[in-house]
Amino acid sequence: MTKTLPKSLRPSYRYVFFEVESLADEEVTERGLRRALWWEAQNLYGDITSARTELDLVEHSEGLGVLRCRHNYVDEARAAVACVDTVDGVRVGCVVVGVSGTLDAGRERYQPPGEAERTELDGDRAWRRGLRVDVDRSGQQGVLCGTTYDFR
Amino acid sequence: MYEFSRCHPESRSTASRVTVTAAKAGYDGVVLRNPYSGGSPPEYTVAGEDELEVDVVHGVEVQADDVQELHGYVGNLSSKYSVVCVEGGDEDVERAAAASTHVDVLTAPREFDHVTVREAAENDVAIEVDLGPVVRESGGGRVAALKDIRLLTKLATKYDASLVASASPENHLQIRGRRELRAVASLAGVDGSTFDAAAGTSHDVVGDDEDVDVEVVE
Repeated sequence: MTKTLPKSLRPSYRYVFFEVESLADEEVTERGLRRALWWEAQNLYGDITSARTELDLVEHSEGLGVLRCRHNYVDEARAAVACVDTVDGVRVGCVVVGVSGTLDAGRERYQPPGEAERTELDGDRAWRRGLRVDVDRSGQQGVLCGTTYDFR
Repeated sequence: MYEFSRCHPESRSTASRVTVTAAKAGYDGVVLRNPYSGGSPPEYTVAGEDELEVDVVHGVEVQADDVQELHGYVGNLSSKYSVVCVEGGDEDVERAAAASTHVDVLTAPREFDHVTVREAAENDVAIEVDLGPVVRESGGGRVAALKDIRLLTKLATKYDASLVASASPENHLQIRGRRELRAVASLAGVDGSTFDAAAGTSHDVVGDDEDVDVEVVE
């Protein structure tokens, strides 16, 4: 229903900003992430609480996602984020970095980690984002995830 | 609050990466707990340890098939590691771990009863509220884990046993934000004050004597 309600009855939302990390910067689509969040919420606390929580992924780019939820249901939103383990078969780790009352305020405060820098380490493909470094030791142990301290 | 995590070579994530991720997720430190079931005890290389934002503690998670094996292992390891955990799964092993003065944490408890929890309370062994299966599984696996957690928290309250909470991460991607874990625990029936107490206990387990700033999260 998209009709305008009286101000006193309009719902209040919160915007949960969370970082999404995958191995070797594998792609995580917005559509896949949205479906994963809804699926996890459904499984964890069912239709009734999902309806009350009103979860919706409003943005996802450069490793930062924004999840909208009703203002009394931030814990339910956090729990849904916690339960996302894979998105379309891609293993991910999601960590909430902050919650904001408005989208604009959150965008100002919480910056996306940005695209990973593709590089090379001893002939192997590597991805670097800040301190974090993933190296594809193909043929040996697969992707090894470390930090700049491990590989200096 | 400390998270209890595995790391390289048991997983694809180095100790350093696990620690950096835990810092981002809001933890005060990490207890490394690679498994041991005989053979060479785990060794950790924590690159850049002095520069990392949070504390790194060297622990071990003992996997024993029977009580005799358990006593042999923990006796040797308690002098080598700051935190000795014992992985549950067998009723006798869990009870023996709860009764041992060498054990700090009984992890992934599955075959416990009121006697085990009472022993743990008397011997200062913390028991892990393992939220890993709640977070990573669904259906039967999650339901079984939730039932265990419900029973554990009831018994821990009755016998005044200490709890620690963890998502039992095997690699950095499985580390969950501290507040997210609190939210999941709340849905699992672990109220906020119990979770906050468990967070405080994790500091006791690592021997952190500083005043713990336990954040009360509404």
